[in-house]
Amino acid sequence: MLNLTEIQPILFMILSAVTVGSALLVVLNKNPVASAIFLVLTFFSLAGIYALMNAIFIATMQVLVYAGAIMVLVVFVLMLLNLREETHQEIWSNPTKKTVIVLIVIAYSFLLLVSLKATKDSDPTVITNITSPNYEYKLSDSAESKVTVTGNTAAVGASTFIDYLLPFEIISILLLVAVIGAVIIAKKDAVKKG
Amino acid sequence: MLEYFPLVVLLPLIGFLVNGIHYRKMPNTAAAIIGTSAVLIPFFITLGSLTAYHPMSNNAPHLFTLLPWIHAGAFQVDFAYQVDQLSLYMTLIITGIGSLIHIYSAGYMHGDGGFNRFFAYLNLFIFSMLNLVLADNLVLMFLGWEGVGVCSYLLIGFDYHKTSAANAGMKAFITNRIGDVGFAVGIILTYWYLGSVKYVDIMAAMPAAIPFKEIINYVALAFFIGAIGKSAQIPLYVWLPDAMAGPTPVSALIHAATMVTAGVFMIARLNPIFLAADITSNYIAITGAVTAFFAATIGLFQTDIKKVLAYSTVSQLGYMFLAMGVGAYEAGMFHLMTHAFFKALMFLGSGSVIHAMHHEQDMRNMGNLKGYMKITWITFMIGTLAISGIPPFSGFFSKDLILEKAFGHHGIGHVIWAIGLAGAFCTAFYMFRLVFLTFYGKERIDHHVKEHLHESPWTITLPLVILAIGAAGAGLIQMPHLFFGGTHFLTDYFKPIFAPGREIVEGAWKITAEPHHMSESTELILLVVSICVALTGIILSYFVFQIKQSVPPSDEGFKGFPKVVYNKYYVDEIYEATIIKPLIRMSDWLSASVDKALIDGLVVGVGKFFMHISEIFRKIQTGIVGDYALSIVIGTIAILVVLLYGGF
Amino acid sequence: MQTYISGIPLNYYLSLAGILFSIGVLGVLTRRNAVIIFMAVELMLNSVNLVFIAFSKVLSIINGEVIVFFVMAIAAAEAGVGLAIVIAIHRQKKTSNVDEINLLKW
Repeated sequence: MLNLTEIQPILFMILSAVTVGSALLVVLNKNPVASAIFLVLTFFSLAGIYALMNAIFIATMQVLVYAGAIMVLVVFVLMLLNLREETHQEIWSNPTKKTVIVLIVIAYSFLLLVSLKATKDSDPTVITNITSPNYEYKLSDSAESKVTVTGNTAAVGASTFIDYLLPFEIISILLLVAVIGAVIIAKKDAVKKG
Repeated sequence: MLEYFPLVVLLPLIGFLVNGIHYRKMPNTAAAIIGTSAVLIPFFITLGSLTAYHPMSNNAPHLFTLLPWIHAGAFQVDFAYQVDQLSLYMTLIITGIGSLIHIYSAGYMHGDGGFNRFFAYLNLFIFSMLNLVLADNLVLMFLGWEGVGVCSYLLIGFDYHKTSAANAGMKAFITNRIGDVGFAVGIILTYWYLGSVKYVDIMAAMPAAIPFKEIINYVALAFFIGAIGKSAQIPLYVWLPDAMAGPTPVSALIHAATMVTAGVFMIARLNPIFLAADITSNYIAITGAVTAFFAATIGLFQTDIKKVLAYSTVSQLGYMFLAMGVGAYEAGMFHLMTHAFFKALMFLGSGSVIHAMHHEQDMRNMGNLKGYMKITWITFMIGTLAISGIPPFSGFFSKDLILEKAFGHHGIGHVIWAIGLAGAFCTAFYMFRLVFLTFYGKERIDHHVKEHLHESPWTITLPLVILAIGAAGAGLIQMPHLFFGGTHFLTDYFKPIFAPGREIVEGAWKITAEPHHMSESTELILLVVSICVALTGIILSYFVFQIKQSVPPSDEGFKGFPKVVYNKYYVDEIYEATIIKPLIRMSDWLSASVDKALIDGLVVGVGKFFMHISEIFRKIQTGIVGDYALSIVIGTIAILVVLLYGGF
Repeated sequence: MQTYISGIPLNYYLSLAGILFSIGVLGVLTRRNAVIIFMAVELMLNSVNLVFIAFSKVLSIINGEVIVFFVMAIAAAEAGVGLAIVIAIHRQKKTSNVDEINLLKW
């Protein structure tokens, strides 16, 4: 049968390649709608990576919220605005901007390579594998009130509703406010007619 | 009565505030009554306090404080006042003659648009002058000193539309200020060496202060420079004749009776310092004598009635300083009082003449006024006899005392006496010249003026009469032996003021200042010589002006030496050319180069510099969001680099 | 010490996140269309989510995933309001080119 430990690296390579590739295409593509589609692809592959890491809940959320809701909204807006393709000419014509961007790319690549190289040379003797699906969650510091939940979703849920209850409630109000705000901003001025 | 004394200082101030704040709406009569009572009530309070104080037997001053002022560590100055024989003497003169002049002004300034303002300024002047004489410390005296200078400026330039008056006011103030520098230096030196500015402390500290004794001549000179400015001695007398452009009551009050005597008062107050400073005192005596003679010569040829009186004032002040210079402080104060009476009388009398003649001041257009203005004529004659030194009028006794003390002074005494005597001759001559040209002789009056010519109202003549009584009888308090055994009321009165100083100087510091004691025969000879000189002057004047009916020519008619004297020896022109013009040129140059170019350039340059920098920096705000995003990224990378490699 | 998450070294996840983030930055700086810039911002947010999950797994604490949950919620809210603004501007100026919205110029 398929050995999990052998498949994981390959899976990761494929998924990360797809992610990076489609991300690049998002940014470099001239057609906005094509950019949106590639972004959806990016989100899907990221969800795959989350699943690979055993963060099931988040992976599901990624697909549902990002790829499902947000990108749909973006595509709607693109269609509404009826955008044309834009040209790349003016972007690269500004020599200052071009220089700075190239410098940023070079600097970042350098930093990246340096950090990767540094960790590779360190001592590889101690290896810690984290694949446990069970998660023990403590309600409070006292020993009696321990609650053990099993599974990633349950763990996230327990933490959200016990430790992070207040932020959770506030986020729900935030979403309400965002909805109202979006409606008001995007509404046509009905008063001004006549 | 002494507990009411603070009112003496406060009532004139209140009068000034009431008249000054309401000067537009107040009716003239009310303003006059407020102004006059603000000075008259203090006069009566002072009279009452005089008896309560028992001056003939009281050795200690009565001190009271009204307000705290400067408390800066060891330097403590309050609005504190000292009532003693000297300050009571001066206060009586100031409030007494001051209230008479207030009554006079009610009549003289009648119909003037600035009537209320005039009374407000007069009250402010009285307040400042009272601060000057009643102060118990040098700083408050200096405040009063400056205050009377300001009031002099305000009152000389009262008719500020008249250019000559405005310029004269400025000239007075600026010339005074030149002298005030000396006064301030004197205060600083006194405080530095003696540790206090209060008179009682100065008297107490002087015996032991040997370093102060070393520089005593400089200290006295510094104070005297202040007196030169304020009391119009050579070389700072030039403001006084010009000050005649102000209204006549102002000339009477300020430039005859009170402000110009501040210098003499200051020397009397600081008498130990001046007694010990023998070199400076000699200089003071010489200055006084020369000024007395010099001004008298100018007075010989003047044609404006007030100018004659102005130069006469300068001359008489010279006599007072002559007395203070030879150490005869009682004589100087005596002459101060008699001069206040007869000079104020003559100024007010000339004001009466000018008022009746519809503001004609040139004596060449007067004559035979005795027929029209009897009271003015008689009182003016009394004043003239007093100033010429004819017994039994007051001026004789004071001037004779001065000349006698001068003669007895060691060293230069005889020379000073001779100069003083020459000045007395000229004084008698030109004062009677004034009387003959104005009140006697042929009428040269313009007939428009003659139609309305009549004696002045009672508000003008009543003060004249009262002052005439004073000018005639005030001399009786200090008469030499030869007159009914002599009275020495004044020397006894002033003993607590001047005796401690003599004790310090002769006792502790071992400087002898007492003049030689003179025999009675010398005194008699000096007295007879004085009277003869005065009579000679009068007779000569009578001959020239009454018998020969000589009238001064028109302005172009003066030729030769008389022309130089008539033009005041061109002193003003010399000052203008040597001092004033170079100063103006220098200040113009400084204003253009240092002030405009350098300082303004620096200040404006700072502003311009920042504007240039902001021009450069505002180009960053392009309004394009992409540029701002770029700056965020650049900043983030910079922070990352610093965190990674900065060792934090 | 090398830490592995599901057989892959931690560093790989982090470098993947770094690459995604820099691509997002590139997109923000380079593109002029407002919606595309917005999509690049979403890309950056996702890279940060990846880092959070990775460290949450390494340290065996659940807080990272909770934060990611909240980040997603906020990203959704941001998407709604941001796109509403883009629509409003497009209605006024008939363009969604960010270079042309420069009224706050010096």
